[in-house]
Amino acid sequence: MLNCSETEKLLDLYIDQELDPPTKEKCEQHLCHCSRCSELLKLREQERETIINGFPVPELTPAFSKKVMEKITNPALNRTPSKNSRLKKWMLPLTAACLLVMVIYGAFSQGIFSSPQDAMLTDQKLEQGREIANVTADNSSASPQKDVQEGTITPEPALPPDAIAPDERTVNNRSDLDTGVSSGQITPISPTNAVLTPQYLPAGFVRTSASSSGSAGKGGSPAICILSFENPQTGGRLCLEIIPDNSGAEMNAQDTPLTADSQDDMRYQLATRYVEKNGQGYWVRIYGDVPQTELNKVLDSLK
Amino acid sequence: MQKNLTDQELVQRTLAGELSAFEKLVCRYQQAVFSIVFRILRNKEEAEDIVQESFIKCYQSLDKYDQGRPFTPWLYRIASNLALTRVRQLKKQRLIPWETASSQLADRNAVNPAASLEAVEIKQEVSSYLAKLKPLDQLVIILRYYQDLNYDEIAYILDTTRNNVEVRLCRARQRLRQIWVKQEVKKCSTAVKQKNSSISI
Repeated sequence: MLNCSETEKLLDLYIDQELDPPTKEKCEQHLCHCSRCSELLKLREQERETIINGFPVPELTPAFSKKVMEKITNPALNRTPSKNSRLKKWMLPLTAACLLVMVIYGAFSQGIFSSPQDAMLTDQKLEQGREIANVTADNSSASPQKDVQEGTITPEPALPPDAIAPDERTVNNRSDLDTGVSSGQITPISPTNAVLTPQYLPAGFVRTSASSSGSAGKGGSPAICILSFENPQTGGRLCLEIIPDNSGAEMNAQDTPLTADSQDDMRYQLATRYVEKNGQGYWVRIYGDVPQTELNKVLDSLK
Repeated sequence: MQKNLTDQELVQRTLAGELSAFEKLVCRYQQAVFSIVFRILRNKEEAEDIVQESFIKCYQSLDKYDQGRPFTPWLYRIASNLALTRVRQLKKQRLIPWETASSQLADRNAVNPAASLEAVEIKQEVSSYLAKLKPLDQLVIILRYYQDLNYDEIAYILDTTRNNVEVRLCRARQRLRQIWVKQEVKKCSTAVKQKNSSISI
């Protein structure tokens, strides 16, 4: 015969019908005689009912089984939900961020957006181009308007050094030259290809560019050679123009240089000379912000 | 005649390539599997995902099923493992969707609103008490009370011994009763305080 404490421990197993037959019989014998344990049994049965009825579950829709079968028949849809929901959480923002970066990068690389500095430089280049075209058309009688418009002659601009900052000057020179080369207006030449080359340069000056325009000897415009020099330390510039005599141009010392601005800075010195080489005459003009004596020395050293 | 097919027969037909036989098994047990998983996860969408995954896994490993044993404990075992794994994941991410089960389950057919309210309150209490147990203890309670499985079946589902189930179930019930009593005491003390304040007014 079981006592109350032993019976109480077995009550759950008794309700669950998990007791072996002899223990179950002993338990029932005690319950028949003990009102306290019988009362406890009733409470436990009520508790069980409360738990069973206390947590209902929503009904699944009849279409649920179809969804399951769809996923079974189509393995492409078969993803583990845990992975799927985890991916969902960060895949969307990540994809959006990548797309945004790509769009911004693409827009900038295509020049849809440009920085204010870029815009300013572009405007300056356009302005310079316009001025050069006007000067060339007005001052070079040997070069008809048609040629200028077609862009057969576009000498390198020689802006006063104060007009723009040194950094921008370098950028502009390079851009202008590049633009000219790409459009076929200016043909860059190596220093050895120039008809006349100065053997002397003022201290600190180095050659920055050499270009020619026209096509000498083929019935077109005579080849005009332009050599540019610069002193990187002082920012001083020199420009040497070599024009064949058969071009029809008559050059005087008072003539405005081909590439110079009409309102040239007074600091600019100009020197002109007629040079003969191999039976061919050339008008040579040099101008820049160096003393006149230096310009003459450069002209003297031409070979 | 089709309705009388046993689980084992449907399994055999599925293995023979008859997909509609497996669909019958899904229809037959989807609600039972869902009721286990929902009571563990307490979120309908999460539970549906896990139930789907359970059936897919069941289909994929049907050839490993021992046809000498009942089908449902094997299916419940797959679903329980997936649900417990998901609970652990959610707890790690601190994203566990502890929806109040009763909020989704208003007793719309109740005639007496007061009685309905009382019933909802009891349901809320039971589900909240269960939520305070460890997931594995919750599962033992769910399998015993809601699925009416015996200790041997529960032991098979949990991949443990019958004695272990007995001990775990006993411990879970004791814990549940402690929580219950604690809440009742709280309720009583609140009621007494309210009564005292109304008397003083």
